[in-house]
Amino acid sequence: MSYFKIFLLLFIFSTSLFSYPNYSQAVKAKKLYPMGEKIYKRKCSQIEVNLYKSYEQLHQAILSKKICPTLNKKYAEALSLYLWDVKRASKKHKHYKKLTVTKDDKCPVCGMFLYKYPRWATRIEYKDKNVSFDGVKDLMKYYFEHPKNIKDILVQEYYTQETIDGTKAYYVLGSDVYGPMGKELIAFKDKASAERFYLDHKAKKILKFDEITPEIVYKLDE
Amino acid sequence: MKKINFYLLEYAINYILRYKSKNIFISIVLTLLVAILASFFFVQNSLKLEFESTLDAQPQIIITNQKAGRDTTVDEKVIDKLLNINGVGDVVSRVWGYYDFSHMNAKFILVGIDEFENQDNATLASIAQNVDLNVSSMLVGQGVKKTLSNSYYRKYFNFILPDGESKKIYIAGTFKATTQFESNDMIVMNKDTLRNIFGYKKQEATDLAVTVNNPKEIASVILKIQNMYPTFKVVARKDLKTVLQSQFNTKSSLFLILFMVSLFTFFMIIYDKSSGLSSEEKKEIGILKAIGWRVEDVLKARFYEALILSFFSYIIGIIIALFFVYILNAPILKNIFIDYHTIENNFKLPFVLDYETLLLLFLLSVPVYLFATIIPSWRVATLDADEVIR
Amino acid sequence: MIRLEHISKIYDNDIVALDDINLIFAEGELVILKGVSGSGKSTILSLIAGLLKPTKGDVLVDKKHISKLPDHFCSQYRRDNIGFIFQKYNLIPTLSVVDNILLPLIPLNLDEKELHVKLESVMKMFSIVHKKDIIVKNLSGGEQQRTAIARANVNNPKIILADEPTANLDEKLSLEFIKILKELKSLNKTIIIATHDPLFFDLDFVDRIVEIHNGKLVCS
Repeated sequence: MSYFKIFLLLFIFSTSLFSYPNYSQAVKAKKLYPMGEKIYKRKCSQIEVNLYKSYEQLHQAILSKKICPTLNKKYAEALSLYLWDVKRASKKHKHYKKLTVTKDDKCPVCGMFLYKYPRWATRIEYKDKNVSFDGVKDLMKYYFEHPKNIKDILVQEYYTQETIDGTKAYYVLGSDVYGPMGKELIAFKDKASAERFYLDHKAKKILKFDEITPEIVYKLDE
Repeated sequence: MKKINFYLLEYAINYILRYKSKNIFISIVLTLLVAILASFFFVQNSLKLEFESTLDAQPQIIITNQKAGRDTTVDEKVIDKLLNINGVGDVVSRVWGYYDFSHMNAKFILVGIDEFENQDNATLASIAQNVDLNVSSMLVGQGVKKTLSNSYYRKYFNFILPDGESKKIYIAGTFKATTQFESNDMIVMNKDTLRNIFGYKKQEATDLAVTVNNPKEIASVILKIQNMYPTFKVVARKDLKTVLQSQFNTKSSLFLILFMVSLFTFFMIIYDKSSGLSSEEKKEIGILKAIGWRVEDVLKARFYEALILSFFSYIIGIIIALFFVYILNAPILKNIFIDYHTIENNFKLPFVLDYETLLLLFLLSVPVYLFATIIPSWRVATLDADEVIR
Repeated sequence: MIRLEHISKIYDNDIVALDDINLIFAEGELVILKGVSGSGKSTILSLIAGLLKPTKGDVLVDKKHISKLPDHFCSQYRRDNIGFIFQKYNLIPTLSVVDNILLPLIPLNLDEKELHVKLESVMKMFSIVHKKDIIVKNLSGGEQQRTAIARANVNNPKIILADEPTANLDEKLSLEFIKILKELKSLNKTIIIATHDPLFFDLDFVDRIVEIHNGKLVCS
């Protein structure tokens, strides 16, 4: 083998040492980002991610131990991924605070106390007030009557229980999962998870927010 | 409802004081009865609380690998695949096991933690957050520290590895656990250090803890995991709870049956004793009838008397039980329930006192006593007064 | 008014205590039942008090059939109408004087004031107030008797019955009893005394003497 080839191989190998790793989105979101966040907050909060122009540069800096006390390979990778993907892009994705309900909150459509089913709570934030519901179905019923002056529509995602923008969510109906008011529209943050749920729970349809009509909603009550 | 006849009440109290010996015997019998039954219930309630808190600290799903139908270790590489399942919040590998400190008559649980992983267990979470465990130190529960100190291990301990080598681990301090069991049995250290001690390979783990964000998805997730890895044993926490509860219930039912038999015996003893009225007592009833007391008046007096005595016995019985269970720590009685790894631990029962138990004890003691004393009294009260006077 | 109509009483062991007795007692009368022990005079008292039921015949008090009353109402009748002074007093020895006197009133559940008034008046009347807290078994014979009399009177009964009241007393105490008897008579109660003590046979305030022998009335 010529020296050139060896050199080429070495070059590729060395850059791949620091190159962006190939994990699935799920693994990153569920394991690596939270771990990286913990490490950042506890040990390396002095790192300024915007100083670096590429992932490789950031990762190398961390590995070389110059800017943070000794971290093993696993922690270093988690930290780099977190800083590069999450911290740097934190302005891009809007994060909503978790929907909470008090002991007195009642759904205006059905009158049920919301504290009994906190995982199903949904909310419409109007310019002058907030109204909370015990599911997407009741939220939609109210929404059709009061569609004006809305700031945000918030729902809780089924799989992760995160609070997401209801207008951008995907809804599955006709599944074997029932809410506190019976048949429900179950919310998902992307098409892939909606489809996964649709298959697992023998559902009938997947809809986007604008595709939901009053007939569909009231049909659920039959 | 007419007002309470205080004169009758006074007569009843006076009566108790005048015929002391018989009443004292009956009181003691009833007090003992209440004390034993109350102790039983108190121990049961405390242990239930202890078990449930221990269980609540477990993850929602536990995955154990099996080889030839027996539990074995699991390779961490499956974690990434499991994380891809929708609904799974996190998968954490657990490294834990038992270490025999047989010369101290103890067997402790060693738990390995990674300071940056998610922790379900409250005790471990607070340790991970607040303590910096380096690779050659460990934290011990307060009960464990005592046992180690008693054997003169105050600053470190030498663990023996499977290959015969020894590893010195320093005792960096103690932790305060959320349950008694943890405090008495647990030692916490760095995960990789523990792997070393157990002779685990680099990515080997004892089992996997799975968190599911939406409890409604647990069954679905378990199914998916099982399909992915048919040899894995996948157990949901609430199934563990049901198993434990049924074990618990069979033991307590057995005890209760035995107790009901003794209760019946005591009833007979009290009944018999109450029927045997001395001639003095019979004469007194005769006199009362002669001066115009109706049978119902005599019975009312008996009722007040029985109520006072039984209530008094009930209260004393409860106090004795509280003392026995929570100050003496219920020797012998405790062992009806606990028989998991017999460790020489000073298991202290947590204090639990609820109204349902007190009410149940009341209903099991006072009415029994009332019936055992009033029925014989009725027979005597209907005696011909004339016989007594002659 | 008390009526005994064709009263016969035969005890379990076939002893005939009374044989076809007919007697009437008017209200306010003081009657002496004269006879030796076993003549049946105590049985008559027990029948009037409702402590015994006759084998044959009827006992009527103010037109009520006492002999036919069930136990509950019989005790109530006794409580409200009869004051019985037993031969052996039948006090409860372990209780104090006032507690003994109080006994007939307990089932009535009276107001404290009312009760207090009744107790005080009856204890004063029979001169036993100064010993009210003494335990009965520590009293002398005469004091015990006065306690028994006070108890019999505390509920202001219409009928006073006394069975051999002076049997266990010396002459001095017997005369004291007679003095008390005179006072009772002045209260206009119906008083029937069963006795064979000759002290009673010569009193000017006695309305009638009825003689009984072997369960039958003796006409005199």
